[in-house]
Amino acid sequence: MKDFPKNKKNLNFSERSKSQIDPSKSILKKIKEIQIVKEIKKQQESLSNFKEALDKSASVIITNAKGNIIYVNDDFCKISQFSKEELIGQNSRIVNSKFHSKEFFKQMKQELNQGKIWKGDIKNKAKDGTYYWSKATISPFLDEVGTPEQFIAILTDITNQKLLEANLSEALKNVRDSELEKNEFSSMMTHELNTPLVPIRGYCEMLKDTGTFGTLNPDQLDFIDKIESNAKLLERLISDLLDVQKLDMNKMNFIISEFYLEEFMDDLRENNKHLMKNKNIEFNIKTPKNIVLNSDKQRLRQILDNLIKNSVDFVPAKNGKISVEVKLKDNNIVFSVHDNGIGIPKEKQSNIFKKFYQIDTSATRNHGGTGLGLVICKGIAEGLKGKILLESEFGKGTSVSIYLPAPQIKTSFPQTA
Amino acid sequence: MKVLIVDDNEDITGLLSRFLKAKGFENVVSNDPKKGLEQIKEKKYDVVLLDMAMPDFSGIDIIETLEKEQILKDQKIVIFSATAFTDSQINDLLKKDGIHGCLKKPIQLSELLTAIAN
Repeated sequence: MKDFPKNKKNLNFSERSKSQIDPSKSILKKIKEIQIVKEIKKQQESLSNFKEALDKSASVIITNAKGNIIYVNDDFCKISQFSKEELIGQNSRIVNSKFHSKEFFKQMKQELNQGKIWKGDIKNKAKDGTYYWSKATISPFLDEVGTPEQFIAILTDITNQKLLEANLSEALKNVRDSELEKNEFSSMMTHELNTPLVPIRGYCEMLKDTGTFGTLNPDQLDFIDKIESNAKLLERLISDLLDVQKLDMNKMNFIISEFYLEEFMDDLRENNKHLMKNKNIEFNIKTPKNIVLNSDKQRLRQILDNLIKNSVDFVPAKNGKISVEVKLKDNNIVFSVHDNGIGIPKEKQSNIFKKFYQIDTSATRNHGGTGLGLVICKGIAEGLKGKILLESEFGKGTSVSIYLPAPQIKTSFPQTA
Repeated sequence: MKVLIVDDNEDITGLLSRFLKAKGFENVVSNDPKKGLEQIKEKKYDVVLLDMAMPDFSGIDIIETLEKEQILKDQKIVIFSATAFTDSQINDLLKKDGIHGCLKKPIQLSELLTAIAN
């Protein structure tokens, strides 16, 4: 430091020592004195090194208690675009950007006046009106009674970092907006896609209503069946796509309620009875008694319907067998759908939960699935905090099991709605 | 029995109208929801089939207007819901007096007959 004040006390002492103390001792004193001066010089040098390092890495500004600038370094001048002459004597408000609230500065002053160090990000204004951001550390220099005499602020430029942060939050906002748009788009699309299906399916139904609208020959009836079954597939595809999107976006709502397992499974049996009879499939349901589940009844049913539909399409035309078995295992309740269908080859089993994957066999062509059924089953099972497991042996059959957590075992049944 | 059908889609009202006529139900079609609201207020119909998703003035708007004027409870409305509606939204609508049923699009005509009969 060039303007470091000389230590006058020390000089006075050395003058006094000359006249009052005897010469032999005076030499020793002299040596000591030289040592002290050396020490001071050393300290000055090291202080000067510190200052140089600080000047190279940060802006420094020192103000008096009123906030008037008494020192700035070159870096501060460079970033604020003011010269030293323009700054010295001015209040530090000269670089105020008016970005921060009065409350912000009030809190800063309060802390500094208590003798604390203040740290924070400040947006300042340069001479040409442009703004810059600094990460600041402000320390008060206190007098004997503890009131701040001076403040020293050490500032590092974080304008680029702030710019990046702003860009990042802008980008995040765009992502969120587009997610929202995607969501609205999909619900609108579903409506738009479903609307033309109303007259398609409605007129098919009317054409088949030969009692009211007149007869058709067997070929014509067959054509209508084809139109109708494809319209139904399209309808399933639309609703499956919507479900997959909901799962992808974590937007699927689960309505959790208590229900009685036996009643739930009876309903499943009743609903499948006719289909199984028509297709000549042996259909069995095995379920434990007195279990109350706390889960999403409709979504669980959706999983089982999906798994049963898969099995129906892949069991042999003769002696087809499907069973649904519910078991308690450890702390889980396990729903397993077994069939004696064609099974899935080992090497293809890992693909089975991928979107739009369908195993290519002649049976698949009659299946008419959307390729999304198992993806949805897995998504729902996981959404209900459970998991799905597939076991299959090619040529022998397939079992798909859904593990759901913690069923309650009760002797009294909940009120069913 | 006289049925009023309110839906902006002419293909859908055409289908429903022809079907109902063939099944012996006299019916009137409205493709304009605002006109439909006026027709509902005339109270000349035994059943109103009301589409929920119509642009500008939706089925929900019609129901809210009837509710405000305290004449919803006098109606026998069956709503057509779009897939965009959640089950809880539909349940909330079904709780209102005057709304007697809900058919999800695509509607099955056999279900429509049951809904009208009820």
